[in-house]
Amino acid sequence: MSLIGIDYFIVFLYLAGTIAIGLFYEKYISSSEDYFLAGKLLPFWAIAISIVGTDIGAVDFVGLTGQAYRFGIVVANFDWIGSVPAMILAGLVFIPYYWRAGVYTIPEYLGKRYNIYLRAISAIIWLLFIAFTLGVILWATGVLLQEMIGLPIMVSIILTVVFVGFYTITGGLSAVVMTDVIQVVIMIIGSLAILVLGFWEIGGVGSLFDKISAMGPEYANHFKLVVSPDVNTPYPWTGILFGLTFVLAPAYFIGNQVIIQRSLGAKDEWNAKASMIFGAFLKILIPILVVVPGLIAVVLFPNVEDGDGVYAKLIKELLPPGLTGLVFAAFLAALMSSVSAIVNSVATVWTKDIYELFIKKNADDRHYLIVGRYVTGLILVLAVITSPLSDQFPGIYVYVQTINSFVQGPIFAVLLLGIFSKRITQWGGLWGLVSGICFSGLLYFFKEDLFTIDDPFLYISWWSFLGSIIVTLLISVFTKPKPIKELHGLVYGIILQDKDVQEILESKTK
Amino acid sequence: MFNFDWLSGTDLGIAKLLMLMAFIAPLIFSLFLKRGYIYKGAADNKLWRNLKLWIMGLTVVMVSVYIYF
Repeated sequence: MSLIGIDYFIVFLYLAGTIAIGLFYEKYISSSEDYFLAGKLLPFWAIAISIVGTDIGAVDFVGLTGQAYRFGIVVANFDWIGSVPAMILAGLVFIPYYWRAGVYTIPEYLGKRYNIYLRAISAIIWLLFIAFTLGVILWATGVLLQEMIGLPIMVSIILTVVFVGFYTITGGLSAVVMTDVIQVVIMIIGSLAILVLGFWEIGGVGSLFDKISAMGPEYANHFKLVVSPDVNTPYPWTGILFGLTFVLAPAYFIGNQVIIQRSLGAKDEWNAKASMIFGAFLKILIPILVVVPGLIAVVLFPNVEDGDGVYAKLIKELLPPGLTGLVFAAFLAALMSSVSAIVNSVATVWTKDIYELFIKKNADDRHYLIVGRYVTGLILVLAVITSPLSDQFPGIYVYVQTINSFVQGPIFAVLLLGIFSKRITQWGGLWGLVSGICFSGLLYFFKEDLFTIDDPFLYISWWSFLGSIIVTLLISVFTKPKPIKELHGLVYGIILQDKDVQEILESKTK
Repeated sequence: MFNFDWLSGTDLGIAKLLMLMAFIAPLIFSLFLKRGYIYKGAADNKLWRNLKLWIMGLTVVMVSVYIYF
């Protein structure tokens, strides 16, 4: 792809606008709450758009389009059944609970509910996981930028990190959310350009169905959301239902700090709830932007070996000069919205759950604000270093989900039991988490003997979740639970029934 | 066992029904929630702020898509 003058101008306008927003919000940052939670002033629509902007990143444009090219519409399950039910439950039950309890981070909750070890372990695991995720996102971007404009992969990664680091460090969560709003609008316009031109090229929506259906039996499942486990696909319905719908999706929307942090910055409880449900509406649209282009590519380029390369090929073959700059800006927007959201959350977890707890207690608020900003920069450097690792795996998106399945299931199990049962003990939770992660590792190590499909990450997440549940329950039976008074504000039934706790929480949130 | 082999013979129609239930169950759950809980924290009690209606809309769209595909 070659960019011409107008393309560069559009990209420049976008980048300048983003920098301006970062600088604008810098003046509103005077405390750690302003930096980490946007001063608790965010409206539901901005949070919802930000959640979707964070969720649809470079990995989706490259990886999900590539997976749709290889496996068909079944990939849309990640944004439909793998998001909508979980987001409704998160919005109705968990988000208002977190918001009212005044929790900053998920590890913070786990520490209060169980013990300090579990808080530290979950925070460290989460930080490591995020560092790898960031690496994947950056590498995917580097690959695409290399194909688009010939920029060396590591050069584009470093440039991205410097740019995102600037507005995230200066403007905090407010800048992250508000830039996300603009970025999502640009992403939608840019993606629609590919979609419209793609349909124009192949002769319309009806033609897409007809042409792929006529391509032979290997494309028989390309328009099926429910695929039999007998087919060699990473997305059989059993994995989608048990692994994705029951474990990975709730874990992501209920236990993922990157997602939850935005809703914690809502200006009131209704906005916190509505943010997640409005976000579900937006999530429904994502497959139209990233999965359908993969199907269009099946018709236009039927013999591409590496699915991850089809998005760049679509841009190169379909877009006329002028529109290329818009799509290029959309791609940058998708990348930056994800990266900025992640680093902001990492800074929060590090500052609240590691630094404030173990390194320097009782410092003044200004000190933690500065630490948060330094950590934001540090995690970006770490992501640059780990990014080449993702080159060893052929499917970028599957790689991210594989890492996800290692930790998400066990963390969700401990979170779920901890919230709903006062009988679960601190040692039950601790060993449930540790054993669940070890179980994930074992399943992955012996995956060729245990599973018949190539990428069984959905199954791994289900079994590790179940393993964690069983271990947590078993150990809880033989160990002593915390006294009820230590669980006030931490277990769902207790917090709702205790009038004193409710009054304290009400006063905190005013 | 780890592959859910015992479910491999399940009719895909039944599988689709189970997936539809994943959308319908949250809707049913929301219908049981009290009005005061749904509106808690809202600036006013206007109809558009009723989150139950939002969830109904979501469910109708998703169920239609899954029935078609």
